[in-house]
Amino acid sequence: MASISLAGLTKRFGDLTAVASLDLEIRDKEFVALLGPSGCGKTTTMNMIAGIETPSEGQILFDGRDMRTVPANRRKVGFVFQNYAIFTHLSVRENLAFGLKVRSLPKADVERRVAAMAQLMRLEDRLDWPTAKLSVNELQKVAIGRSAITEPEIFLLDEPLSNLDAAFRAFMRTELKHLQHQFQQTMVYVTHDQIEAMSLADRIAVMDLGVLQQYGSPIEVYNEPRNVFVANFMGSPSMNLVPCRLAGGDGAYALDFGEGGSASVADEDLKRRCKAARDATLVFGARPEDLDIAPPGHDGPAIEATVTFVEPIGPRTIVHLAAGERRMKVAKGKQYGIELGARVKAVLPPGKCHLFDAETGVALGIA
Amino acid sequence: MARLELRNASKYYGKTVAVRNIDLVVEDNEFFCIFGPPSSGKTTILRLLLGLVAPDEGEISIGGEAVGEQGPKERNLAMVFQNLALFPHMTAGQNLAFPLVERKLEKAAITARVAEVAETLHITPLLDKMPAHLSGGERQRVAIGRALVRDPAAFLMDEPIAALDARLREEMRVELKRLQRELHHTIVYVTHDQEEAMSIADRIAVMEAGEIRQIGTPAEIYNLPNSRYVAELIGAPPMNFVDGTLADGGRFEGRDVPLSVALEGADGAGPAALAVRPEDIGIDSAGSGNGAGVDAEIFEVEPLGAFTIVDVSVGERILKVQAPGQPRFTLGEQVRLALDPDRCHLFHGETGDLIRSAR
Repeated sequence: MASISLAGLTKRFGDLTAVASLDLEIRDKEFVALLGPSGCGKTTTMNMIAGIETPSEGQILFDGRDMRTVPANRRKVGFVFQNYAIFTHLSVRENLAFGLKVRSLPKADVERRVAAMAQLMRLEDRLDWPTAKLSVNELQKVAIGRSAITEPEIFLLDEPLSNLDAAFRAFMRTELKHLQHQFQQTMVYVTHDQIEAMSLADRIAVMDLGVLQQYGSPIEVYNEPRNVFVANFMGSPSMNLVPCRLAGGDGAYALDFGEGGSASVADEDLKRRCKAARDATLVFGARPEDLDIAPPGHDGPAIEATVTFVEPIGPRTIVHLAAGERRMKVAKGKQYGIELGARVKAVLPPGKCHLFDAETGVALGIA
Repeated sequence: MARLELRNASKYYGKTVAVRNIDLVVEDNEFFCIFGPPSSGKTTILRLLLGLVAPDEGEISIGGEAVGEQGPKERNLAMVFQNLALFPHMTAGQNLAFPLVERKLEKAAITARVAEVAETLHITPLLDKMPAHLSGGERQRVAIGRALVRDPAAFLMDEPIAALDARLREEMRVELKRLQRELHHTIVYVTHDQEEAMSIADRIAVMEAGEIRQIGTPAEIYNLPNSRYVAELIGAPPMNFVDGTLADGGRFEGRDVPLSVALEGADGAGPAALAVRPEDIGIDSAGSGNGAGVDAEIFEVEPLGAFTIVDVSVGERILKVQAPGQPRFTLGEQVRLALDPDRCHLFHGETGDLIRSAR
């Protein structure tokens, strides 16, 4: 059992607030990703959980127990860093066995667990290799295996895949997820890569400038971003975010996209919520895969635009559109053909149009 | 801008083959990507073109003329490296002007040219800033601008945006493509990122161990890979391969996977590997009786928002399926995979050569 509870957790370095009053509940056996750009406070948060950094304020509880006076080496926490910390003078087998030997486990147990871990990490045929001969990918597997083998109750991983090549990263993502299902550990995973977070985590804590922006399941965070930052950070290509104004009144509201024309809004409730911001600009958001492309004659809510660029990327074709200064991307299927310079309409998807307050960035609703 | 050509070019370092028998024509105004894993010879091709090394065999021509013994200066090609080397003590504008100052151009001409290039790259507001005060993307634009001011015969770019973060890389590749279109440049672009190559290139050369394995448009390379090697390198998540045997009459039987598919146009019995892209496999509910289907179990689910990557275990193998949207599955759920034989490639089990393409 190992749940983690962070309450009002704050870390200041001189004038800089790295983490500001963070509240976060991580359930036992949960896989939580701390996601954000560099400088968002994710690594500092993890270091405080590990006991490497001391909080300026706030509490860290493991299963309700205050960790303030518990030093890092007594927290039963496994740690894997981006720069794999392994003993370069030892073989793969010795590296894997190290954490168990320090605990004076019987030799037979050590051998059995090393063999099992080697099999899990597909390192069987590398066991007697000196680590100096391993590839970067294999080194990181050893580093993860070395930490996982001690079966810590809490496993902290700081960008463990970011030095690996793309194909191997995708492979390791699945391995890690599977590893967690097997070991049933509580995992906290720091990353700046939203795909990794989406793919691995039960819940994602999106952070920016030391502040928690949203905490929820990958699909929640993706489908219902709470503000412009989260909307923009999740997804690749990212959500289209274009300025617009709410125009009209008395039951006939429309979103005015300037050179992109205007589109009527059907959602009564949304209109009510937008009313406060009626004279201010809004930010309209739609995911590239939710927008569709129609010929200029199309009826219904749409933004008029010109095709500026077409990227065929394997299973998808990303079509870039411009409506004056407003830029958008639409994700279409394989081998979608359209001419550069073509005049089109970007069709607004009912139920998947996000509106944000332009000033605060806060989500007003989905229409 | 000029057409570039390598004819049967080879370069050895002692016994090590850097590149061998390279036949390559980069057309005038073409955006040509050289793609491959590390040490597959990508950069050597740039060095040969640039004149930094001479080929041991073969010929190189630029704009239709053999360049033979010409040194880098005479060839007038511009190079952009990954580690952009801006002079830290000069402003962005001075950095841009540097190649022209070095060539002793008149001051007025330099100012005009720098202004013109800055305009094209949308960096006019940055001209008075020092490199230390620029973001990574801005610095890369200045570095590209510095190559641009010279009006070279062609641009050679070696992983020019690899050091930038993912979001910025996506923006920069669109920007580079726009520049190339607007200015009608010939660009030879080295990358190890298949998505970047697919997105940006008019044509791609896929390298393996110093040799070119396939040249084609992004769509050709993606849809009709000519070998298992190319099929494995292009696409993320990668193509699924099922090893097995091809019987006379074109029926493929999987070895570790209980899969049997009739493939029209597949000749030659023997060991073979069936290959199918993750987006070309459908997931149906268990028990549905599709022809080329196979029973499977949901092993892992990666919801990525726009699509969902599902790992399914079939026999002793894990296959990756990319399903559109946000379908819901539970781990351990029994399903049936739908395989369209027309979407399957078949490669030789030993050589990896193509036996039959998808239709």
